[in-house]
Amino acid sequence: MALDLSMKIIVVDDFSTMRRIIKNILKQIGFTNVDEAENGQVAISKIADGNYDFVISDWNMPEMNGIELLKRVRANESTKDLPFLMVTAEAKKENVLEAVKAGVNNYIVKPFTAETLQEKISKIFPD
Amino acid sequence: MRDDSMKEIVGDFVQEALEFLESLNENFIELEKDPENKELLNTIFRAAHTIKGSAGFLGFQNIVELAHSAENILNKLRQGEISLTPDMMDYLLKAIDTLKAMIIIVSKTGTEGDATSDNTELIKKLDDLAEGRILQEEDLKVTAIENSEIKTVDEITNKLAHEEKHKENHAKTDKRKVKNLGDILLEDNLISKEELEQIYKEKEKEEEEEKYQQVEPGIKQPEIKEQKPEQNRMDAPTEEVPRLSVALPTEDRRRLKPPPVPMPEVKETTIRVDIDRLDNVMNLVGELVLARNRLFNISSKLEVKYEGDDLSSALAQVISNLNLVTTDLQLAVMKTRMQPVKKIFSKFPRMVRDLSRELGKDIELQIHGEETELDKSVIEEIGDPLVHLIRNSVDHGIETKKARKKIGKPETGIIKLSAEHEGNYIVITVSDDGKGMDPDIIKKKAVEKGIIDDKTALSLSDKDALSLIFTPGFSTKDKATEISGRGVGMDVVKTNIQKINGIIDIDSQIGQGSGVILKLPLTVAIIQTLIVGVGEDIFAIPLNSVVETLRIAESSIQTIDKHEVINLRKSVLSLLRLGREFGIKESDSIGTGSSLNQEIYVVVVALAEKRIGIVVDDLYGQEEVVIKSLGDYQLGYKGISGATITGDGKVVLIIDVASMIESVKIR
Repeated sequence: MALDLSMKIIVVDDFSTMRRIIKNILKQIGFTNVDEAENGQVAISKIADGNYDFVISDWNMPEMNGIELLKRVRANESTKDLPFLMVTAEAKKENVLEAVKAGVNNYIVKPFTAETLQEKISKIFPD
Repeated sequence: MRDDSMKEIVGDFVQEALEFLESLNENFIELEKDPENKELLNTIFRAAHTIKGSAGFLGFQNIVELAHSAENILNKLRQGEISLTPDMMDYLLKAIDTLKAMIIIVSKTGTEGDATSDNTELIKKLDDLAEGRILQEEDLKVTAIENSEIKTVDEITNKLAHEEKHKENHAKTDKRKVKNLGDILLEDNLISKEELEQIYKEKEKEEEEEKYQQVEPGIKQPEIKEQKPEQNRMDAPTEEVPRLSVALPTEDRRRLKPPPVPMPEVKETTIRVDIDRLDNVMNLVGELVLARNRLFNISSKLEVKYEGDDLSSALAQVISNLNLVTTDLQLAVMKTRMQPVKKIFSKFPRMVRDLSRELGKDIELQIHGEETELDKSVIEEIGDPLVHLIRNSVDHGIETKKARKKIGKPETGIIKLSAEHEGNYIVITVSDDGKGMDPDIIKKKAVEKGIIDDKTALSLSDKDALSLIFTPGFSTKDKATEISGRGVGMDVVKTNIQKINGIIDIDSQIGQGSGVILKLPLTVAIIQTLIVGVGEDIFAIPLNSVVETLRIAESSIQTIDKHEVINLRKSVLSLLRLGREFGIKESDSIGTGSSLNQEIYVVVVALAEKRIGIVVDDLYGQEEVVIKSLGDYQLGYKGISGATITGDGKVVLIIDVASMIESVKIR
């Protein structure tokens, strides 16, 4: 696995418990540099100033949801190629297609295990 | 997930989930009034959704199942597939209660336990409610992955995730370092190339439309000024875009896309602080206040002694500055402990709704001033009293619809709950437009229950008679209902309000309704006191409890049953001589009755619904003091709640008004 375990990741979710869970799982996989934001707006400003390598965001959030966040990330020249993993509870086809359209790199259905998350991330960062 | 932090995460989950559920209650009541409110439905849906999501991670399967069923209904509601019925509301509220109970079990035991497995019925009902009206709908629309048999794209992705990875790169992805979902789906044959191209085409089309719209003259371009410099550079030639966009090749178009509207920067603005730390800060500020008082005192003496001296006037100046800062600091620290009464008020709409449905009454709860803030310790004590007062209004106060109609009142009864600032107090009022209380009936009941005798009953004023409802064991309803009237309620009100040195006032008009007014101190640790003297000794009486001070002639004291009383505005006020109570030699001629023309001071104090007059020799003034517990020394000395150090360095005992009133009652 050629995953860069030192890459800087930002976890976006409005539920702090969920952020902790995801951070915990990332830690289990071996990632060391993990930051968080409680909604899309906070994430946008953090992403704008910080050199993040990877975004893991919840879909359904108040203020700014995951898709909106993704669109804004893609719309900004400096972050338009930033890898983005969407976390969601819905597995409907139209949702997947919407995410594809918005330019998501991959997506994962919760709850998930460390193995699943690792697989999903590996898909985004092929060897 | 097996490491130590698991426990902490569960703790976080419990706290956060409970907060969510609490706010849901409120949202639901609002929703019942405004069932079409999409925003509200979304918020509620999201809460259920979030709880389900994190419970899933933590393996709380029962919570997941119930939350899922609730979420299912909510999803249909927010998409307008079904509409809200009172029945549905009842079950949704029940689901919330059940979830809350389950989460509380989790917080106590760390696991779900088995007790929660009997939700099947509730879940079935919720599902019926969700399905009943939309039998024809295809399941796919609302099916989440957990219980779905349908092959959704994600399921396939998941499955394929375990297969061989990384086939040959497709031409499209060649130049990319990372892959996107489209590529991954294509790679795994989950989507056809045509389909994907179609999607991208749609996307480009949308983008173009968007772009066109945004640069079109006349369409507002708000916030453009706030852009960061580099974005500005990138998009400087805004006015040229319309012309260019047609000519440019696709790849380049993206670069000319208008920048995202910059979002105002949002920073996390709150932190959670352990209440012990705040208590500690409050304590330290208390010490500071004492030192300040002391300095103040010394400085004013110095100024008299060395009048015109440069140093002493400079000192006075510094101290007056210190005084200001200390006062501000004290206020600031007090504020950190303040919470809006909304915290407790918010549960009442739900309670009133449930109770009135149960009783078949029509009741509207009007809430005012829920943003009013109170010290956390005070907030904690007033929850139960308010529950009882409101239950009482619902049960005993407001009449049935029929009865109201008969006497020409509107069918809907109104209960008002309000909170407002009044000097150093917060005044909380619970009132209703119900049938009111009859002092005569209350007196009769009290005699029957042996709380008072016939003679006392005759001499009681109407107002005093109303106060009888706070006596332990008093309940006017012959048959206790489910809701109130178990004979404990009002007693609890009194006990709790007394504990925080609050005052209860009660007011009732037969046929028009009743009101109970709670006057609560803003804070408990640092208080304003009235400094009084008895003989050579000095005491402090909490100003919160002081209603007024009187100067009366010794001759106006009457004796009833060997107890000294005065007649104060048509009400009988029992007196208590502080000197006698503490065995202090009173100054000559006072209290001996030798000189009836002698004037004495009476401090009228009130606690909860009781009032007495405390007779003292002198009134010295008002002082802000910090209550210090006397610890073990206090044992056995009734009537003292603590001690403090005054500005002149004396240790002064603080009168415990509650036990003073108690001792008057006993004799």
